[in-house]
Amino acid sequence: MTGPTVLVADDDEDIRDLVAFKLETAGYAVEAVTDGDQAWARAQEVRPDLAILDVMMPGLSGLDVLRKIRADEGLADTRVILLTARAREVDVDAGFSTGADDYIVKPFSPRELIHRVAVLLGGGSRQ
Amino acid sequence: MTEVHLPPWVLQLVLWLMLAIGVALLLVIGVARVTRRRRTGQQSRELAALRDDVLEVASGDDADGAARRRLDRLPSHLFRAVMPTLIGLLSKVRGAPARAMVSILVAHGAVTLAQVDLTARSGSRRAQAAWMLGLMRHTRSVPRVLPLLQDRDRGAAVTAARALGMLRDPRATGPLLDALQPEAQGRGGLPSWVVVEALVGLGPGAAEEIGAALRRDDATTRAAAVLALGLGQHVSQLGAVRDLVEHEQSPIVLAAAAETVGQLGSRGDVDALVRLSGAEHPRAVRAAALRSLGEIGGVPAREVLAELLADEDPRIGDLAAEQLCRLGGPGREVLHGVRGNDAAMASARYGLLIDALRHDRPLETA
Repeated sequence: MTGPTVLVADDDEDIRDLVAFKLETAGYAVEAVTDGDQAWARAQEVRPDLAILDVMMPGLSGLDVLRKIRADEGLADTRVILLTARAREVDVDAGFSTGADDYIVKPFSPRELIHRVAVLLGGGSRQ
Repeated sequence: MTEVHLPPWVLQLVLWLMLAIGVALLLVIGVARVTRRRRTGQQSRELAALRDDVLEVASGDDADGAARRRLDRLPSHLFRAVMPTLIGLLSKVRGAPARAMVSILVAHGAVTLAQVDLTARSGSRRAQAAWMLGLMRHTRSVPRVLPLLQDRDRGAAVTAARALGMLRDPRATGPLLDALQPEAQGRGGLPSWVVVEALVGLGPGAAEEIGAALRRDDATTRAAAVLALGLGQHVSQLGAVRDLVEHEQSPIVLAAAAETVGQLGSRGDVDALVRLSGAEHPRAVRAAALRSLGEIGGVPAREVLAELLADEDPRIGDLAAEQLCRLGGPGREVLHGVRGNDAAMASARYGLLIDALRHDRPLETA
């Protein structure tokens, strides 16, 4: 039986595969996409429990996708983590102001990521 | 001119030979293509299996170390294929998985190779070598990377500075600051932002030496040092930064110092920032002082920012309004209460508009 569904959007194949691999190993169902437009389309289709979004992606940015998710009543329960290389205070502030539940800066710890996912989904740590 | 007559059989032989050579060439090309396709197919199948091993190591899920051992034992031609993925992930992952990936690279001789390449003829290979050593956090290579700061290839010198920042060794502090100076033979100094970023990467161990650089004669060096102290959050050097604000003459350094006071200082520094926000200073210094007042906040900062809304320079008025918005509800209240002065009212409207756009808030008018 698969666990909650997590949407992963990152144009970097290595990061996308790594995050998907880590989540699947921890028992989550993963939907992985390569850009912001696909992320928004898949979010509407699968209504994920959580979305992990890169900020700088082709098409819609992670912040754009986050705004759309927050404006959609059907996605009111979807938690969002921004996973990005943008570490400046002003970027973190913009992420949380837009409605992100968490903000993780690359380079990141995959283990820490999975703990944060588990906490946001209310299931406690899966590791 | 004499004509040469060849017997017909010689011409026929030449034609047959050419035909045979053509057929042989086609055969060789065909066999080579098939072999390459097979090899590529086999390699991508092997790589697909290896990619799982790389992901297992990079995700920290290789608890028994089996995936790492398999990668350690890879033959060199396969490892060369895996290496780009490994290096790509190494720059994006930290903690135990990063250390495991470094140990795989070390097992395949990546440190030795990179050290040799630091003196390669190609500038891009020297740069790549410095970057690799930085990524692998190989601090013992710091003395070998330092000379690259003066490399004749600008790209190699910039990459060396960034690699030294990753290596976090305070021994690089002095050489990084020196690299800001143009060389006697005409090569320009490194860009300030590269040096500042690298100095920040060195961590707290470099704070004292960076603080001492505030007393150097060169203004570019003082500006870079004071910025690095702020971005690196070196509160231990706040006294030296305050001294600099009191005595500095260069507007470039003063602007950088004002920025740093905002990052390190407290409400006790508001008076100094108010002085720097005065109209006798260049706009860059005033703007930096205003941003720092917005950073520090409090009632005195709010009052000064409110006065500056009516400044003769409209850019300063607009910036004061933006900083008041940063102070939250009380700052926005000041903007709503502006009356009588056209310049101040225009700046207040601008500040509220920008704030609404930035935070996706409905527009409140002044």
